[in-house]
Amino acid sequence: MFATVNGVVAQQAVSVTVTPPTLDVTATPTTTTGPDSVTFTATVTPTSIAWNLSSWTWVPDSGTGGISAVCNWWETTCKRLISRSGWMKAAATLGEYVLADSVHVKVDPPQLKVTAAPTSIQGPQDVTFTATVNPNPPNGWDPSWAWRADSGTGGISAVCNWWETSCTRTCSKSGWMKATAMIGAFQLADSVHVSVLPCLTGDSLLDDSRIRRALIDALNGASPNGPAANRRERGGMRFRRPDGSIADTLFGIGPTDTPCSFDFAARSLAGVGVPIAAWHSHPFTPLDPNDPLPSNCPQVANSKLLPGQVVLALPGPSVPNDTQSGMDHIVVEKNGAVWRVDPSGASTPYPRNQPGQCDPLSL
Amino acid sequence: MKLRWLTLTLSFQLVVGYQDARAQTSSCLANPDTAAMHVALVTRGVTIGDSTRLAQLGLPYRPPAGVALVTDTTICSALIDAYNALDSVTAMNVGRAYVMRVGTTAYVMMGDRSGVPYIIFDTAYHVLGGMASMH
Repeated sequence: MFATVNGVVAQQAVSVTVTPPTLDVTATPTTTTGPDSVTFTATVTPTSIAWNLSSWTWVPDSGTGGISAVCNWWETTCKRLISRSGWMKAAATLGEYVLADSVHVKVDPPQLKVTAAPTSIQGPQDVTFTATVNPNPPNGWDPSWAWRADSGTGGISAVCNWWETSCTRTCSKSGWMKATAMIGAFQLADSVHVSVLPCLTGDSLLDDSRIRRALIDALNGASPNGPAANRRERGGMRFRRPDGSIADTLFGIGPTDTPCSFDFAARSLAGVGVPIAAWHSHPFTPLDPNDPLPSNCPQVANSKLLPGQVVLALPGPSVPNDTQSGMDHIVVEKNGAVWRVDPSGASTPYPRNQPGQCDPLSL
Repeated sequence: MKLRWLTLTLSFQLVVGYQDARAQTSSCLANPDTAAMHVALVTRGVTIGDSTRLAQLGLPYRPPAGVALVTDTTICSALIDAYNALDSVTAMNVGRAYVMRVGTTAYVMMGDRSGVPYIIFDTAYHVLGGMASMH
């Protein structure tokens, strides 16, 4: 700035600092479970200036789509249904400033759950299958259903329809009902098992046809009618795999297993899954003088008994040896009972081949 | 010869010492938790077991008097001695035992040595046989 003061030329410098404007984009919420509405907002600082967006751009993390409709340039706030993870970018030009900002939205997969009621039935009966997605997608969803019998084909009166999230059908064979659904970017699936049995015991584990099969395998695999010294107790376990599915296994015979003991501790469970229930067999008829324990049973290894003085198997599980900590356990005896042992060690016998009572190994 | 005398003296002292120990500590084991477990297992056997097979073993079926822990050292010692006398292998002898009276006609003993099953006796302290809890 120049001026003449009293005939004298003077000058003074003035500094002007211009702070560049900034554009900020936010999303609310930034994380959702399954498809959900997300509000995007663009703001410019300072707020006192007039401005317009030049564009909104949606870029999904993978694939295409994932947004119900792109936001418009004249909207500084817009609400859209987001169905897959991605970035929302806004751009604006203010004078000589080209501004841009982005925000990421994470969409976690929703949970599809399939249930059956009841899961165990005596002979052919109606079972209601229900599929639910949590959280429920705002725009609805359609399941696909598939039935697979444990053996052979058939076993259900009709497959459920895609427009049904709940359906009732008559099941005549044990098997699996599977539902699948495409929710946003996620292909979801879940299954439920139905046991169709000759009779029910009232115990949820013993009324599972897969458990009954596993108990039969554990008993037969112990060679209960072979030479006493050659028999080996056999054990199995039900796991929950890391993906949530259930698996049943029959352990192989280990070097520390004997005709009278099964060594669960010798089994490596690392990486297999979380144990849910365990079972093992006792391959000697309880208290039967014709089925004595052999000398390679650790319980009789130091016995002084004389020839003719036999050692017989006591009925039921031993305590505490047959109590697997914090887990349900089942003991299946040769010609005896099937015993349910709860995590505290309390046991309940379910006798086999008793008139008027359900044989817990019947299939 | 000296060695023989020394051996005899040592053996005498060991036998006397063993008997002293027996006299000082009851031959009847009675830890409440362990005793309850043994009583429960034997009770289960005579409750659920087949009556005919139990009779073959010399055990009563569902005896009204039930199964009770014995704390009478005379009985415990008599049963232990009867069992130990079955053979001459002293290394496998039982020193103390949980003893249960089963009804009024039998005893069942669980000794303090691993690998020894429940031993069944009649009331005249004759060994009838054994039974073991499966693991």
